[in-house]
Amino acid sequence: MLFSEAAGRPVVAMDEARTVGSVADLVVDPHEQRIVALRLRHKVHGADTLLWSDLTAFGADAVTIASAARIAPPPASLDRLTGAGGHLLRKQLLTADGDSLGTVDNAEFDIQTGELTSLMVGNATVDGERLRGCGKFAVVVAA
Amino acid sequence: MTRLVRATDVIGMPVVTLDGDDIADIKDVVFDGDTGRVRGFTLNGRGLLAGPLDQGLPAGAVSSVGRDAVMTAGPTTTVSLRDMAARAGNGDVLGNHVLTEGGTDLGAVADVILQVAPGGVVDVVGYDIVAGPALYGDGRRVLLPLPHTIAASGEVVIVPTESVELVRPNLAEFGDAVATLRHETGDGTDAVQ
Repeated sequence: MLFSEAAGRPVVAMDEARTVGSVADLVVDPHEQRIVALRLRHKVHGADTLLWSDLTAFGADAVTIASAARIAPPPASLDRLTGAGGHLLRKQLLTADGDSLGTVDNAEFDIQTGELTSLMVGNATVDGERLRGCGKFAVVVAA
Repeated sequence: MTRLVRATDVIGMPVVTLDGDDIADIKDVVFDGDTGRVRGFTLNGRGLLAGPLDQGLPAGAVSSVGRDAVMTAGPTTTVSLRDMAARAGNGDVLGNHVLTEGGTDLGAVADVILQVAPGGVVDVVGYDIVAGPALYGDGRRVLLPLPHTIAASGEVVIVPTESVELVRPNLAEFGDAVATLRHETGDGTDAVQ
């Protein structure tokens, strides 16, 4: 699924059978090349973060969770990923050699595993496994 | 992949960590006054209002010099400028005249050609010179390969006489000239690929 398609997807709590929020952003760990959490558009009981491991499914039409209690404040382990540096899209893509490949327009991930499968730069795609860093200036991929 | 770049092209490039954060801009190249090698880079802060930093980036901390950025492992790779520049001395060769061992003035240094090897090892491999009358009468710019170590005084730079035969007009043909010179002078330990 594309990052652009994931944004806005409803989050449904199965115990209440109701929509409790919608996806605002995907939090990527560049060292593991996978999505580790979702940020919600609005806070639910003062919290807005869902860990990938707490999802029941990232489905074609909705994200399902066991209950709204899974929504929590971001843990300290996500601090470095949720600041200004944590977003992949609209950043310059640099190789580890220091060459720019363009701007990251979109990215794709596996809805079963959360693995980042590709980064899209113009008409080209870069294998998600090459991701090495995502900072406030650039996204860095292996040369 | 080994890459050749002009020192002036590196100036102004952002210094970016492999985590994707920009930590500085390259302000200038610091050469070793004794050997002519690159000791590192002085830095400017990022942004319109930022000035020079009191930290420098040692050559050994550079993981790569690309077309768009100088890459380094992390934000802690910079060192005090005082430590890095301690022996820089007469390191600025721009404007110096290049003299062969045979005593011919080949022209004045306008730029320095750096070779960046895999792993970021930065070496000076040549000069971009404004050719003197001994080479060409029209003052054109040419590239002159250098052996691994040279003698430089802050006034003139001494090069082997053989390097005159290996002057090249552009970077595309220059790598072979460096390799040939370093082979001929028995100094081919880091020949350009």
